[in-house]
Amino acid sequence: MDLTHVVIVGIGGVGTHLSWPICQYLAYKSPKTRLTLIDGDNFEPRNAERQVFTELGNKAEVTATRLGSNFSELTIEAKPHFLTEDNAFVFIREGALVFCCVDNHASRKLLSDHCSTLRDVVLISGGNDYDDGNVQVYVRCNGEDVTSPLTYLHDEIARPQDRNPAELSCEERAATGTPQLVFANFTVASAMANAFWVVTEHGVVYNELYFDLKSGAQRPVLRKKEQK
Amino acid sequence: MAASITPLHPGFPDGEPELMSVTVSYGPNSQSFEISLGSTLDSVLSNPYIREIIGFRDDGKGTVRVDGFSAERDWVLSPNANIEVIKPSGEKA
Repeated sequence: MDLTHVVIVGIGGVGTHLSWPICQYLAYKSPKTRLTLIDGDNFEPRNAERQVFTELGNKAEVTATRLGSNFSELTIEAKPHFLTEDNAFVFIREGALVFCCVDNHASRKLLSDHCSTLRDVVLISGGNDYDDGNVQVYVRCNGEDVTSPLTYLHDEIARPQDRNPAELSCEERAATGTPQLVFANFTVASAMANAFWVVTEHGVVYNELYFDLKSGAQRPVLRKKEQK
Repeated sequence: MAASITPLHPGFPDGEPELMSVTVSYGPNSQSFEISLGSTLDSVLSNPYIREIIGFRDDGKGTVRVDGFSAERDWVLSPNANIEVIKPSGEKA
């Protein structure tokens, strides 16, 4: 698979842990890759419990600077914006491989809907609750869905009860935080990296993977879309 | 994905009912159970033992598929049916 453009949307608890190993891999596997980091939020001291950063400031910019100084082979750029309907088509274009590391279903739906308009794209989305979570893999090839969009069978994404962070005030964004476990973030990031390797090296093996930290259980699923 | 077969009913004074195996999946968990022939989907999803083993957190009213197809709660299950309750995606990151 062509890895000319990789995008990470959301540079928080999952995105900061995912970005480093992805750069390590790409630096050797595909050093011509352009990596775009997208996040409109800022690192704050309270984020240090779960997120990796060396200075305060915009998450995409701080992380792009940190990664750029370690992976000079790659072209790494920051987009200090929340993903919206107005910029998704600019940031995510044909042939992109997109990691969705956002913390709200409204943005997942936005990304999934946008990717459904592209002919060729891979979207790998991860999310966690306190001690469990999942990863979804949405692949389109030649204008056809190879796997189902994130919204399929997932009403919580198809009809999100939350809002895009671009629509929230700083106070509202701060109030949306719920307790999270750094190990759940690690596990999502690891599962997303694994899904990336599988889909780029071996094709579609599963399109959703669940995990539970307490039981240690993990289950990959390849669901076929129901024929009407 | 180990499929241990677990009788739901330990004893029947009037004799053992005919049983069939079904597999129930939810999130990372998947397990086979033996249930009475002719059981409905609802009888499986509301069974406290199965709910405990499979780890249903909600009321089980999420999207349910049987052998890959949507099914109503009064659906009469066939032997070896694969029942999946779709676990909602994690919201945070």
